[in-house]
Parts: sequence; structure tokens; C-alpha cells
Amino acid sequence: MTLKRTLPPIVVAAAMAIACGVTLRFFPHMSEIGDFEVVQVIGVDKKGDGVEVTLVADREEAPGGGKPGGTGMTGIMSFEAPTVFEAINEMNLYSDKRRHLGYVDFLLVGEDAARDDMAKYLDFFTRNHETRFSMVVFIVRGATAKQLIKETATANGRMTDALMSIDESAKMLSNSRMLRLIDVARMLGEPYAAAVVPTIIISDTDFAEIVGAETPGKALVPDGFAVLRGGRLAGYYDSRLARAYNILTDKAYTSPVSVRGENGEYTALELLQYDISFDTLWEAEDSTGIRYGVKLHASLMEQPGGENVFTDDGLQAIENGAAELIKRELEDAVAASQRLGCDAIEAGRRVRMKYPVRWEKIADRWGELFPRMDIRIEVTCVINRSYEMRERIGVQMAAAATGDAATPDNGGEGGIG
Amino acid sequence: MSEKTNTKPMGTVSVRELRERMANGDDAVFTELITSGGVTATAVFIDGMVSSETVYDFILRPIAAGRVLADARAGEAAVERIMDGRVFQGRKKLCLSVDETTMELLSGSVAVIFDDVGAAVAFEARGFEKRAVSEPTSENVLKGSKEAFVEALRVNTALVRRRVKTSDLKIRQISVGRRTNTQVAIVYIEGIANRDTVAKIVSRFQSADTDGLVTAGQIESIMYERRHTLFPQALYTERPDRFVGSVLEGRVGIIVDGLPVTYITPIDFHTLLQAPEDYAHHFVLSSLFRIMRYVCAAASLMLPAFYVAVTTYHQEMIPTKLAISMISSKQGAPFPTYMEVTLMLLAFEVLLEAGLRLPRAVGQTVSIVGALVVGQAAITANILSPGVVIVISVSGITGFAVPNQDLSNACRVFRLSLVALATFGGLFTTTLGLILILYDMCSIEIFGTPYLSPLAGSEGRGMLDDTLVRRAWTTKRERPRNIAPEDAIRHAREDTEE
Repeated sequence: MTLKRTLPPIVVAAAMAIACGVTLRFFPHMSEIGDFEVVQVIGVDKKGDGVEVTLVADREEAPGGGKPGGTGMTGIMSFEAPTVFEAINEMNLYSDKRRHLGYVDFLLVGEDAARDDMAKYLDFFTRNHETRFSMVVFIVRGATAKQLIKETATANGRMTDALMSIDESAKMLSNSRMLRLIDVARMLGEPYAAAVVPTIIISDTDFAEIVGAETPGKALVPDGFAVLRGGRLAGYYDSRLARAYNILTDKAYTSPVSVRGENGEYTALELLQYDISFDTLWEAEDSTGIRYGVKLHASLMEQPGGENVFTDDGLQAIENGAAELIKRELEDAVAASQRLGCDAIEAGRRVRMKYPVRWEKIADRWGELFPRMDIRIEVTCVINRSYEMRERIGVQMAAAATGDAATPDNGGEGGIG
Repeated sequence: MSEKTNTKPMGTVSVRELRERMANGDDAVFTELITSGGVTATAVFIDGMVSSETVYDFILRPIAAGRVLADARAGEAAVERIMDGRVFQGRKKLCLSVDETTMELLSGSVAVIFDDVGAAVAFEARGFEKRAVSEPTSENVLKGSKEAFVEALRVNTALVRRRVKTSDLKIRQISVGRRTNTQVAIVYIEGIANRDTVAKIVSRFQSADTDGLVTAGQIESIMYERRHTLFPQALYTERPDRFVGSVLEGRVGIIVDGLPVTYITPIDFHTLLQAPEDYAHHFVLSSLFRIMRYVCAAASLMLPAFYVAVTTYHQEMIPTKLAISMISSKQGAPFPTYMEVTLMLLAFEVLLEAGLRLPRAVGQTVSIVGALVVGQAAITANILSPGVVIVISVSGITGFAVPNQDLSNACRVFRLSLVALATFGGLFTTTLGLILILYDMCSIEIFGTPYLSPLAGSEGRGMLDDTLVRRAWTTKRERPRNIAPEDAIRHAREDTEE
């Protein structure tokens, strides 16, 4: 490369560097990854006027000496301080490793802290450059975050794996969901709606009983949502109402329902799709009522009873049963939200999207209007398939034994449609 | 008799002067002979460079014992008879100076000197030992020719001629080197190759003022416009089919006497990532292989620097579980990551060098012992972390996927430089380094062809014809536009073919 060619870019780069005031401090500080301790879960609790921060660090045993590494270990440490920042920094005194917050995947907020002021305890995490907005936030129902961590973290299991599995179970039951810090921050800043944050509880079931593990430890399980009014904990949606909340806010995945048919036998359905229609009743400039229409699409998953439900009346009975069950859940969720005096079902968002001009006139009064509204819900259900077969296995054999004629349409052809 | 008395010198060739020039050259054979017409002459040739059978049976015997020169009573008449074709030999040349005669002798000719008229007739009688055409050693393909170029220029030009049976194929021969007089053949197809490019290349070799042209590096230094960049500016190949393919595209081939590799220019960067077998496979397969090569080249270049940067400066970029695993693997390791990576890269280079220098069987053993045994022992003893070994191995192996050794070597140097930059400023300085490399590539122009064309500098024309991907042969009607061929159309449209 001749000087004629190399000089211009060097001069330009040097000029830019000088113009930007680049000094040696501009370059990042070198730090070895081996000197870090990866914190994956942080618990925050109210402690007097200050906070108590609990850190959970997952480690793997180092390889070496001919042994492979990889055995999981969990380290827990708590510290009290006036602020979260100070507590975390103080904790570095007691460790030979630097605690890196860039890997924090879960933030657990104790019930007392949520009741005090949720935003106050989240401020550090939304401001800090190491932590990520993608971390998932849970409120610990009926306990402190420290308590939950101490009782559910085991010596040979990863707490993060248990927390991560909540997402999968929530997709099968629609009774919870993973909410990122950025979403919680957005909800806390929303003036017309309540913030609804997923909750976890310490299960009464001994974890050792569930998995046969020798190490004692309890399981953490999802338990619906916490409703925050004005940033403070106002109440809960339990697991049953959590599904209703997810349906009303278009966040439900699949979920099971068991309903009784014509003969009183249970039939299990899997709800796969929830089509929601929404409209608002207007009186002058005010919204006085809301009408939800919910259409459930289901699959027949199990039919323990032996009767033939694949008749018009039989199917109708099951569909009606499922619709009625879900309708009750939805009405209870709406009633609970109105009772708490805040829009926890994001009805305001729907009104704003459907009637943006009218919304502008009622937006400021939405908090007063919503609890007094006449909210009605209509639910219908349609069973679309029964998978590989219609009737339960063994029905034909039982019929033959009793001398009844064989039931037609059995076996192998499957399907409602 | 009158011919004998009226002798007038034709040139300045003299046996005495030639003997002086060839003094201490014991392989120079001077044989005196008298033609059947009674004229005294001296036959001179270099032993080992001529065919004895040709010299004695077809040149000396007709001159001395045959009747063909019986009527020539003087040197001038003898020369005239010979030049008129009385002595039947394929190629002959009248030399009138000692320099000219010497040149012919050193090229494998027999010179018959007629001292009385100061002239010599040089007969081509080359017959030196040469290696037979054999299989390529570094560019083997499954579906393709098994022939490779050899050291003899004329054999190599014949290998090319055999594949291009047209008079438009031009082979311009230039002598380069004041002392070696190495023959360099510039090969191109008239009407396809850009004539300005050909003229520039010819001029480059003609104006080369050097005493010898023996190694590939000397040829490259004559051809290359940018002397200080590490990026190769010509494609080398030992395969005649690849050479011909490039010449048919409108490029210019260079064959040098004494070298079994040939050069192709002008090229662009993408040419260096193409393998000979690309044109033997289905275009979809070839395209996938090519994309893989680009990815491999990028991985080989950047992976170690990226590893150093993210583990030393940008740890939050690493997925959590991987970070935990990496942290645990670093427990107890005595060296910082940048030192581990640098040491491993150097060890890798040492292994490569040792493997090349040693005999093939021993070289393999060195590689296996070095890579497997020492590497495993270093990990077990906790001297190195496993992540570093994996990164360097992947980087090394992906480097071997680059078909051009010169480009691969350039990548090795850049790889080490980027690691040094990553050590000082993480991804910030690594990116600066990559920008500088890109700047260097952008500023290279080979006989008017931008190095990164057709992706850059060609206004988008032919971007995906034969670069990252290869189009189907039938749809690729045009020759590469970036080398500005005289005739850009390669073949007729498929639907217009009879």
C-alpha cells in the first residue's frame, strides 16, 4: 500500500478521533470472562425503608484433572441496603468473582414490595446498562422473593430451568405467561389500564415427592396474575381467572376443559382457538357497556364415558357445557376487574382501537366509567375434531357382550367434520 | 571457385568468440565438420539440451555426408542452400551475431557456424529431459481432466492448444531475465480478451529489468500492480482445463518456462473462492459450496478475534448457558483468553510449517501428535480452556476450505492481526481492522478490473452470475463484464439454439 493511498484514511480516522474527543478511556475496559459469576435470578423484597436483594448464580463445576465439568450448582446470596444498587455492589465484597448482571433472566418481586410500589423496585433494572429489558418479571404471591428462592432452589438443580419451564406449562394451560421487564414498564406507565403481572407461588407439594429427588426442596409454580392499580398490588387473578384474562386479552394458547355430557359423564376438550368480537355501547358521548363475543374452537381429547356423544344433541350438550364454563370464568374475571376499580382486561385498549375519536373524549374518565359499565359476554363453542377415533375403545365389545347391535361409525375414521 | 574467392562476411559470428563466451562451460560441444562441398564449419550445441538423434541423423549427417551441399563451395552458398531448405529440419534460423547464436544454443538449438562468412544457422533440436504430464497435486477434481501443467513451456502451450483449436488463440512469447532468458508465454484469445489488457501485460513483462526469472514470487512481483497488499492479484492454476476456461472468459494466461503453475489475470476477489470443480457440478450444488466457502473464509478470518472480543469485552453478548459453560471451563486456566488464542494460533502455524517441511508420512504424524495429543493434554492439565481449542481448530479447518492458498495465507496474517486488535479494544478495534481490510480490497484494481467487482464497481451488472452463486450454464450468456472482454457474448440464448 503506498503512502498516497494509506495516508488519507489515517488522517480522516485521526481527525474523527480527535473531533470525538477520543482518549484512552474511550476504549472499553478489559475483563476476563473467567472472573465473572453469572447471576440469572434476582429477588427484590421490601425491608423496612430499604430493600433486600437476593441473587441466584448458577455455576458449573470446572473441568480439569481429567474430569469433565458440567455439574450444576446454585449459589444464593442476600444483602440489605437502602437501594438495590447499593445492595448489589455491597455483595461484591463477599465474593471473589464479579457479579455480571447482563445474564439476569428473571426478576422476582416479593409481595410486600409489589404492594409498596412496583416501579420503585424496578427503577434500577430499567436504568442499569448491564441488565436487559428482556428479563422476565414475576411477583411472588404470599411470600418474599428471598423466601421463594431459599425454599425452591436446590443444590443440584437450576432454578432458572424451573422458571423457564413456566412458559411451556403456561402454553398448555393458558394460566400464566412470561412478561418481560419492558412490558411491565410499559404497563406501569399506562394511565388507563391496570398492570397485570404473572405471579408464582411456593407449592405445598414437596419437590422431593414429585421427582424423587433426595435433596429437599419445594416446587415453584405459576399461579395466575397480580393486578396492580396505580403501580401497587391491588389483587390477584388466580389460575382459573388467569385463563379468562388471557382469553380476553388475546394471549391465551391452548387449555383444557372437562364438561359433563347428556348422561352426566365427563368429556375432556382442548380449547385451541379463541375468536373474539368486541363492541361498545354508546350513550351520548359516554361508553355505557361492552359486548364480548367469544367463539371457542375445541378438539375432543378424551371421553371416559362409554355413551355415544357423536349425535347432534350429544355434541351440542358438550359444546354448550364448555361455552357455559368459559363464560362463567370470563364474567368472573370482568367482575373482579370492576370490583378492583381498574381496567385489568385491557378493555380500554380495545375501545381506543375501535373508536379512536370517541376514545379521546372518554380517555380521561375511563377509570370512572369502567367499573360502572354493563359488560356482557356471549360464548359459543364448536368441536372440530376427535382425532383418530370417535367412540371410546372397548365400546363395541361391551355392546356385543350385551347383545346390542354394533354401533356404526366407529374406529379409525376419526373426526367430527 | 569464384564463390570461394569473392567471400564477403554476412555477419559477425565467430567460433573463437563463441568459445570464449562459453569458456568453462564444459557442456558446450564444438564439433568441426566439412561439408560435402568442402566448406569448413563448426557445429555447436549444449549437451543434454538437444536430442542426439536429431543432431546427428537429421542435421550433421546431411550437411557432412549427404549430397545436399555438394555444389556449395563457399560458406555463403552453404548458408543460402541450407536456408533454402536443402537440409530438412523443422525450424531453423539464420544468426548473424554471437549474441543471437548464444541465445539459440541456450534454448536447445544446434548452431552450424560458417566462420568464413560470420554466420550461423541454428536448427531447433530440443531434447532435454522433462517430466511427463501427470495428475494435479493440489487441484484434484472428481469430475474433470487429470492432466496438469509441467515445467516445460512447450508442453504446456501444447496442452492449451489441444483444448482450443482456433487460430485466434495467441501465444506471445517474451524472454525475461538478463541472465536466465526465461521464456514467458502470454496466452489469450484474440477477439475476446481485452486488447489494452493484453498490451499492458506484454509491456509489463517486456519492461521487467531483472537478471533472472526463476520463482513464482518474481513473476507475481512483475505482474502485480499493488506490491504491498497481501491479497493475491492473479490466479494460479496447474490445471489446463481451468486455464483454458479462464482464457475463454476473456482473461489472459501466463505460462512461464520452468514452472508447473500458470497464472491468470485479470481476476476479481470472487475468482479466488472458486474451485475447479464448481463447473463440473449442478449449479445449485456449486452455489451452495461457494456460499459455504465464503462463510468458511469469514469464520477463519474473524472467529478467533470475535472470541477474544466477546470473552474479554462484550461478555453480555454470549448466551447465558454458554457463558456459564465458558466460565467453568476457564476456572484454573492460567492465561488470559487473548494469550491463549495467540499462543494457539502460533502453535497452529508451527504445526502447519512442520508438517510441510517434513516428509509426508512424518508430517502427518507431527500434525496428529501436535493437534490431538498435545491439545488434549493441555486441556486436561487445565493449561488451555477447551473453548479456545475449539475456536482455533474451527478457524484453522475453515481456512482450508479456501481454495486459493495465497488468499488462505493472507487470511492467516489478517487473523492474527485482528486478534491483536481485539485484545486492545474488543469489537470496536476489530471492526476498525475489518474496515481497513475492506478498504485495502476496495482500492485494488487489476489491469482496470476492480477487485470487488462485480459486487462493487460494476453498477450491479453480473452480481450473481458467477460470484457468490453460479447461474446455470445455459442462462449465463455473457462473459464477465468486469474484465471488459472484446466480445461479451459467450453463447446464444437457449431458446434460439437449433
